[in-house]
Amino acid sequence: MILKKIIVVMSAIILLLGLVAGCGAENESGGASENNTTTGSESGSEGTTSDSESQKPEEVTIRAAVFPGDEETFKIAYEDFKKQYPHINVEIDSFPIDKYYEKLRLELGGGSGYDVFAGQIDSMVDSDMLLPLDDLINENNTDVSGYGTLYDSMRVNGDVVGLPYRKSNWMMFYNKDLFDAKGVDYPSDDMTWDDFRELAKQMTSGEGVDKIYGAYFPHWAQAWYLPAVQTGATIIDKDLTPFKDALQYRMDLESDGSIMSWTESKSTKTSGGSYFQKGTLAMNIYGDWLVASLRKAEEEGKLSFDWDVAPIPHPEDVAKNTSLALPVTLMINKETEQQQAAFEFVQFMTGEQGAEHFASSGILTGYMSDKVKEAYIGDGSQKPENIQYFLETKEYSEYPMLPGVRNVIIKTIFVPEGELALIGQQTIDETIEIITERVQDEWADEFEGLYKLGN
Amino acid sequence: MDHTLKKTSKLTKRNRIIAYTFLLPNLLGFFVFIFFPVIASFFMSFTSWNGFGKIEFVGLENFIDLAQDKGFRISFVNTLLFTLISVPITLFLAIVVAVLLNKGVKFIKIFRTAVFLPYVTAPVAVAVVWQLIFNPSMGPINGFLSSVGIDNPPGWLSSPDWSLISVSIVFIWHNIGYYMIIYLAGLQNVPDSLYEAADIDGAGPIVKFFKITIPMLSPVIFFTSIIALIQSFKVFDFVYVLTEGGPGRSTNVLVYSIVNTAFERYEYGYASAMALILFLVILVISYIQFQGQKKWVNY
Amino acid sequence: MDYVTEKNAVIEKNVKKSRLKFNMNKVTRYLIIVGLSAICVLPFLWMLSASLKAESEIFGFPIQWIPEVFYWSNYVEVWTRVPFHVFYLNSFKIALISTVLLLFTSSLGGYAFAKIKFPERDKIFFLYVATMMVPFQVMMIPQYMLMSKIGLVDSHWPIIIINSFSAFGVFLFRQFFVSIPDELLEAARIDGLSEFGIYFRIILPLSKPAIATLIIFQFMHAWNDFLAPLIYITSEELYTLTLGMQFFVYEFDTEYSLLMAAAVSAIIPTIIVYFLAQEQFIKGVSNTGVKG
Repeated sequence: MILKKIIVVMSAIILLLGLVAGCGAENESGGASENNTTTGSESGSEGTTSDSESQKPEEVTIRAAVFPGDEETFKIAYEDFKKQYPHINVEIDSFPIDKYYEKLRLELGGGSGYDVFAGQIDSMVDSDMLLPLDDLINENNTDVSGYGTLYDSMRVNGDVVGLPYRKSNWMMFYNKDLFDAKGVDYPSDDMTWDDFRELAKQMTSGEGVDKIYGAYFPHWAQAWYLPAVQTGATIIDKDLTPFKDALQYRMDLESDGSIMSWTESKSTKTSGGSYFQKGTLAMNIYGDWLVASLRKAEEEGKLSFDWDVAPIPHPEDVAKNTSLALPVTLMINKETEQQQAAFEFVQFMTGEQGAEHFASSGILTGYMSDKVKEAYIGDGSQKPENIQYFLETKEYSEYPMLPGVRNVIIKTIFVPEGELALIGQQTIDETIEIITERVQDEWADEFEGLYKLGN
Repeated sequence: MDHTLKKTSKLTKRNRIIAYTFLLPNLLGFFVFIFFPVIASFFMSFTSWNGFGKIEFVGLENFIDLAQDKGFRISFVNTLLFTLISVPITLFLAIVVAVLLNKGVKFIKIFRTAVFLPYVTAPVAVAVVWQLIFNPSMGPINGFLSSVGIDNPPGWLSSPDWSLISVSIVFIWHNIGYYMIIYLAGLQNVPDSLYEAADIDGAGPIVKFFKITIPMLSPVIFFTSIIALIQSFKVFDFVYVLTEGGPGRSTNVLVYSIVNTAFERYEYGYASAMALILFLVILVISYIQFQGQKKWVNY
Repeated sequence: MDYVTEKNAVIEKNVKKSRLKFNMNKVTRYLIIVGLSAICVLPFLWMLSASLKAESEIFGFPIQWIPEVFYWSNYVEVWTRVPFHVFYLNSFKIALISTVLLLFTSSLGGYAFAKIKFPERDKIFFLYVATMMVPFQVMMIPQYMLMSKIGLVDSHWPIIIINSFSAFGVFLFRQFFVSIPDELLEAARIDGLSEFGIYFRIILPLSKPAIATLIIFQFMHAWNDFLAPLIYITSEELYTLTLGMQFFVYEFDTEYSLLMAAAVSAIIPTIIVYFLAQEQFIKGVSNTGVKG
């Protein structure tokens, strides 16, 4: 009898819910009419590329997908964009970062897709959905000088297929209070990895809950192979010898006990970002986006220590301030019906004005100019004090941005094989040998030669 | 003779109409939204599709590649091992728990809820707890083992030799409650009179378990054994949250490989071919079970 | 050893130490039950305790089960920083509608497979079971394209639909209906009850435990499903709880205390459904006709 009642009640609730929520189907594309209020009177004041505006363009709506971490900045920058391009409405969506490409590719493949999307070129280029931008860049007289050498790395098989809005470079973050407490000098801008190892040992103390680690590397393959790439090697080289030293280095640090072991970091799902904020870590090797989160934490009063940044250490015979980076770009769907509008948006976000927004939130941008640099360094009221280092960094790409490199080589070869070495199941020589072999079998035989970077 | 034949065919026709009327609401949705996508994905296993644009037919190429794919072989063996460990243990423990918690126990609802809790709890949350429990240096299990004098306790999730077993333990723990519920529902249909008769005969609990409970539950046991088989062949979540297939490739099971291939490598055609093999393997085993059920399932 | 000698042996033993053994049995039984329940509950208790701790206290050995200070603020933060109540409502709606629909469609289907003889029966049934063997991740892409063509993407309907026609429900009901004796049905047919009448008046009332089981499973399945909401929903106001929590993971960058507070909040409805449906098992026992 109770069951019957449950069913009756359930059905009643469903009816109600159905009426109230209307199942959401009707709010599918209502965005177009919402933003009709035009505030375009001031658009002339700072517009640099106003050719297209003179013909009273029709109102259009485009959709953009961006990384969840960048959504907020995009939305702030969009308000600026709106002032200049009142006729272009942009709906900005984002998906959980783990499943970002999975969802994005499904949407694009299903045909209900986006006009503009953010991401790394290598994860999208095989889709054959990327609009070559060269013609649009010419027609619009887009200023590409600000991208520097990065511009050429946006070319796949000769076409520019995206414009970078972020560089995502590696930095070292350090906890000033811990150094002060020990009476140790802050890390300099010119440390070799050997210096760093000594310093990490010196800064390590305590056990269990009171453990303070001298340093932390995320449990990503990039974090252990980083010293090798600093010397100019790449993970698709036929000879991976430099990677032996890199792997050995991480093992040495682990056996010193001055960094959290790979296994522990992975099994406690530690993230370098939140771990550093706890204040029990002296030096953190991490990405530039941590600047923004640290600033935010500080604003919310959650940070109990002082901090700063320095360039990551370098191998013996490599110049100081050499780092790794991985450009994040905006790309355009080649099937979009709003090419021009989509391009205006991309141009704005990746160009000087968008870059200023990103830079002022602590992100190192793809586009650089004096104005952007100024925004990045700030007026000195914001931490970190030494952020200017990163304007002069020499960067190598974290990996060659070809299809399959990240997803096949890093995720399914470097990570598991490196892991076996780090837990002592495989010697370093064996590991690098297996990696070399597997890269050939599982990647090179299939992907190599299909796509070419540059012209 | 003729007359009876006509009668049966008439009956058949009538039954058919009735049967399809009953089936219609489900069959309609099932065919459009489940069966059709399944067929489509099978078709894709003969193509080199990457999720976009034109579909290129490549014949049996994917299957030939699979035969030489070492990674596929590893994940296939891992999946078989995982199933062999987890299915019998899960089902056995679940049936024992269901019998224990069927009746005659105080606070029965609380105990049942307790056993069911692991199934309700989200894998992400569960994973953290188990990783702590399994932690080789600080975890309670190894703490206990070394306190009783075992010098070299296993490395559990971080040892390639133990990782698959560790994932199985979590999987079993998580699923006992699920099968317990099904068995409990099945036990409600076992008449008390059977047990009473056995009591009069003086049968002990173990005899009653094997002579009454198991035969009476056999349709349900058959059902659960198929479900459990499918579930363990398709295991993904726990591998994903506990080990990400590692250390090395020691917990890289088939569906983990498939997901990787489809959504990391973007070789959807190849992933579909792997899924088709997985499907055929489960199909063959279930078919054997379906044939075998006539011998032991008591309808 | 045949049944008779076995039986005799047991009787003999029983006579010898009847009283004592009875108590021992009971004690071991409780020991096993309490032990098992403890193992099952511990991780949940850990979650509960972590959800009430400060972030820095969570990891650490030995585990401190009762926090020194209860941080109820974790819950407040979870419920105010994300529109949790909206996600709750969405999940509830999907779980409820799909459970009722599945109950309806699959009990009818299960009845046809269990109690009506028609030529293609076993083949179609096997087809049903066979689709369960395909990993969802593989059929997801064609299914998505289909839904996209129909124009259902970015609404709750695709999730409700795929949950309402699962083969699992049909399989479950078929197995339970099969164990109901045919004689009962024959008697009803002679009494002139229609096939639907038999299904509704005889089979369903006898299947309360099975219905309760399906309610529990389906509600939970829909409630905890992550992949389908992920691929079908884009607008934030349509998010389900699991999808919303995934954003949480990003936004709080593995702040475990908050994550655990969210997880605990998320499982409470499923426990309630379990409790209510469980009631049905017990009620069901005293009502069913098949009981001897």
